[in-house]
Amino acid sequence: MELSQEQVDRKRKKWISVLLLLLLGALLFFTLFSNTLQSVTLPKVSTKQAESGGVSYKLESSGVLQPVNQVELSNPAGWRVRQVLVKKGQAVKKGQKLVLYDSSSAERELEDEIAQLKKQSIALENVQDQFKLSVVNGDESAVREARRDLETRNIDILVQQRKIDELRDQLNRQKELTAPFNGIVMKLNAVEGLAATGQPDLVVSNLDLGYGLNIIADGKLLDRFSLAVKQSIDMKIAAEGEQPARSLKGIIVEISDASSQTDESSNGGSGAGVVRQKQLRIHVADTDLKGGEQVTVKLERVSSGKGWLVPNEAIHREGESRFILKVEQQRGALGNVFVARKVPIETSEETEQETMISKDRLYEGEMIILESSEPLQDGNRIRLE
Amino acid sequence: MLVIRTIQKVLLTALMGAFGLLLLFPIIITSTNSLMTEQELKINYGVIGKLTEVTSSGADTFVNLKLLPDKVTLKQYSELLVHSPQYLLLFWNSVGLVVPIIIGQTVVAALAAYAFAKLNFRGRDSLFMVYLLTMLMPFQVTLVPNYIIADKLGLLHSTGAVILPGVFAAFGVFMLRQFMLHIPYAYIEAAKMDGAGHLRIFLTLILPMVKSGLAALVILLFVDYWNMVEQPLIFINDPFKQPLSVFLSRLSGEWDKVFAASMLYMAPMVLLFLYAETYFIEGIQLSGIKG
Repeated sequence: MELSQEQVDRKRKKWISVLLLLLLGALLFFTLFSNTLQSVTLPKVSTKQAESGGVSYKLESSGVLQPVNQVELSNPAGWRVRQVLVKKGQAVKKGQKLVLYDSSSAERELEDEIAQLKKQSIALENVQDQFKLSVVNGDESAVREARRDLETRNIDILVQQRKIDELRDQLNRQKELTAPFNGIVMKLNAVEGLAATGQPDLVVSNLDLGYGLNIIADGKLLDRFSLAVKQSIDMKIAAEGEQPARSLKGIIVEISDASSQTDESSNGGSGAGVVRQKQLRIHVADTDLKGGEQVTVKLERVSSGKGWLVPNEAIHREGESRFILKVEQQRGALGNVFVARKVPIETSEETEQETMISKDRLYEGEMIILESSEPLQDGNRIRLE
Repeated sequence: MLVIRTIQKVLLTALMGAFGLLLLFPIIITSTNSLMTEQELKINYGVIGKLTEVTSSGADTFVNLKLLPDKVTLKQYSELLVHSPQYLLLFWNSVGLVVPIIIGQTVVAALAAYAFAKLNFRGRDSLFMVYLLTMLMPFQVTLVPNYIIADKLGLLHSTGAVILPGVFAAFGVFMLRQFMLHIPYAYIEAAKMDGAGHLRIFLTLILPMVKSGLAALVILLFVDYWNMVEQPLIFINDPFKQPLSVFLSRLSGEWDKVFAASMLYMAPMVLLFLYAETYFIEGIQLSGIKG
């Protein structure tokens, strides 16, 4: 009986010691591996080091160069086009022949008139002869009549002469189109063999007056560059065909408000969606231009203030206020742990990609959380990618 | 007569049972509450620590003691074991403090008790009285001298500052001396006649005889030092070197793991007690001390 009591006691003790060892073993296991276990469940974040510097504003806009002044040249007399001497896009000098018209009918008319004049001259000679005869005969009345007739004929010849002159003049003027100034053929409607098409035969731009470019951009952004009228501006022409890309200078002629447009794509929707637009008119005087070139304007300016540049994707909104999350190293029980720390920010300047925050918000080398696998809160432990 | 005796017995049992339950109640509460969800605990115990605010606002000032969880969950344990490794580290801190103290004090106390009980030298009893005095004094009295000594020894803010006073505490000496007094001199004289020295007598004769006393001492020391808060709080200022007991005393806000942490902290103590229960009872009875 006593022996069995002892046996029971021993068995009990064995069980308890096993239990105790199990407990200690489990605790030891969790002590050693809980960090590992935990880190698997922690939200994963991708980070970036904040860069120090100023915000660089960039405005990139492109447009097509349009001539400031261009003139439509029409078929003056409605004649058929005999020959087109220029091509579209060709540069022309002042006075250069552009289009020749078929003037044969007018020339024929001129010849007719000349023949008429000859006839009248011959008739005049007849009258002169008659006049001479009457003087010799002494027929007073016949002399007077012949003199009157002679004068009438003379007037007729003068009129005819003028008519011929005018016709000749007209022929000279209207058988061809000449360039009114140094320019470029912008449009060519004239077709050889056809008469007027209802459209101007030619459109010629005025090279001497240069080209213009209209750019519409975000007003707020444009204001940052503090542009002024008469300021020169650098532009680039894109390479086209054999023409290599090159840069040229323009001068701002006008800065005006364009109609505001609602920006629906604006993420966050904080700015009520209205973006003030501004129009920039730039004048370019460059003799090598033909008009119609694609021109790109690139403006860049670094803000005067310095701070930390934070990518916009790292900025979170909470009502009106904004904040970023940075990585903080904390001393944990089992080595260092990383914790997400909220940093409220007020933005001074921002672009589409970056926001500048003031220098005192971060320390040198601190990491900013860009993305997280789960929504983070202040103080959450995180796993660095 | 028999009826009266039976009634007496029933009444006594009922009374004892009631007292027993009362004593067990905190443990039961802790164990059942360790299975509750954080939300439930917050609802029930949220008023703790802000009683003054609650009274001023006129709301319910009573803590809602709840025995059975609405929803049984092991969330607290997983939170504790996986998500808060600091508690586990502190647990091992506790072990690291308690084990050296127990081993040291048992060795020192056994040797000293042998000297006080079985050796004859001048001033033995008066020296023992002095020893006893340090035991009788409350811990708070010796705190400042201990602090100064630890500082002089350069042990401040290290575990040594807690372990050293623990190793040389008087309680073990007193308890084991009581045990050894029961051992008749005849054993020792017989051993001496056989040519055994003091060390041999101590190791082969006395120690096996006071085995139950040693077991009782180990348990009592374990309970005592496992639960200490003040010493580590004062001597160790690095929160990551302090034992779990200090941390548990501050854990009131963290409802998601406070009861589970308490349970885990209690477990080694309970298991140790169950293991050495028989020795413990025997030892207490023999020495005439009550825990």
